[in-house]
Amino acid sequence: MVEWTDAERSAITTLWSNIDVGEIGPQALTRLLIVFPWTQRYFGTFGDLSTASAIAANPKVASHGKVVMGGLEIAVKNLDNIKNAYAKLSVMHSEKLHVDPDNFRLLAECISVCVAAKFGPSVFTAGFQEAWQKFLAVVVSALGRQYH
Amino acid sequence: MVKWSDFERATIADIFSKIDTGAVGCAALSRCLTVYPWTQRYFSKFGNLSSPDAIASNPKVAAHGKVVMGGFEKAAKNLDDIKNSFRDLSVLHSEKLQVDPDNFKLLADCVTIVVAGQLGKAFTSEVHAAFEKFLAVVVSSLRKQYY
Repeated sequence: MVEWTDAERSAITTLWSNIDVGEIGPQALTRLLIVFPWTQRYFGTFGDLSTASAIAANPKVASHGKVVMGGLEIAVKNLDNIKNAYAKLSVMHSEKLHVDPDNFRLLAECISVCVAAKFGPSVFTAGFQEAWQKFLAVVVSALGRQYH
Repeated sequence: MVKWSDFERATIADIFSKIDTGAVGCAALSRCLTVYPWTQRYFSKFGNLSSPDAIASNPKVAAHGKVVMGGFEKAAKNLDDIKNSFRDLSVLHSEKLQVDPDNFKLLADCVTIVVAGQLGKAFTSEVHAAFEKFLAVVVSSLRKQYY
């Protein structure tokens, strides 16, 4: 079981309470599709992803970004049992969506960059970054768990 | 040879003209030692690294962060030949310092976070993509002499 210090729990819940899922979610998914273009292969039905501007303006990207970011709420509310809380999501990503789990890590990186850009270093301190990235690493691990 | 678009060249030059490399280097190295604590094993002579505050105020971390970022700046000035300009640095890191090359990516990620925090909205997805490519080439060049 993952051990969280009080400082880490506090950092994660503080950051989460200040994150607007509707803002950061679309930004992070947009960023993923632009910075790591091979990830576009999972979104063949999303329409125009041909340029950075097209991706940034694509309404399906925006609404899906919000869905994905909203999924983190489950993890925030179940810090002591993320593995089990994500069991069904993991099965879905492996058996239905066939997402290469390396891509979870890339999206987590994009989320962290968006959070860093939004809050700046005085809020997103080194201590907060440690807690947040540990949190995302646990989420990524839980999502990859049911693959084999 | 790595191909850079005009946008990528301009973006990388612009980022380096806007950042204080000493401050970014210090912040990035501090974050690396805090977020990925096993990296502290390479800096046992640096004194007090016992807490995020101790790391952030450690003068040896600050000085070394500046040195490391100077290396990135050298790459930015030699975009068309990073591999060769980093040959000696690669040998140094593998044979003398014996740094696990996986750690280069971790430090690069911390540099990205610091630059994102400093540039805010200006660190758009396109700028991020160019910078990410630059850092990947630097990391790859540092790894090259390992075998």
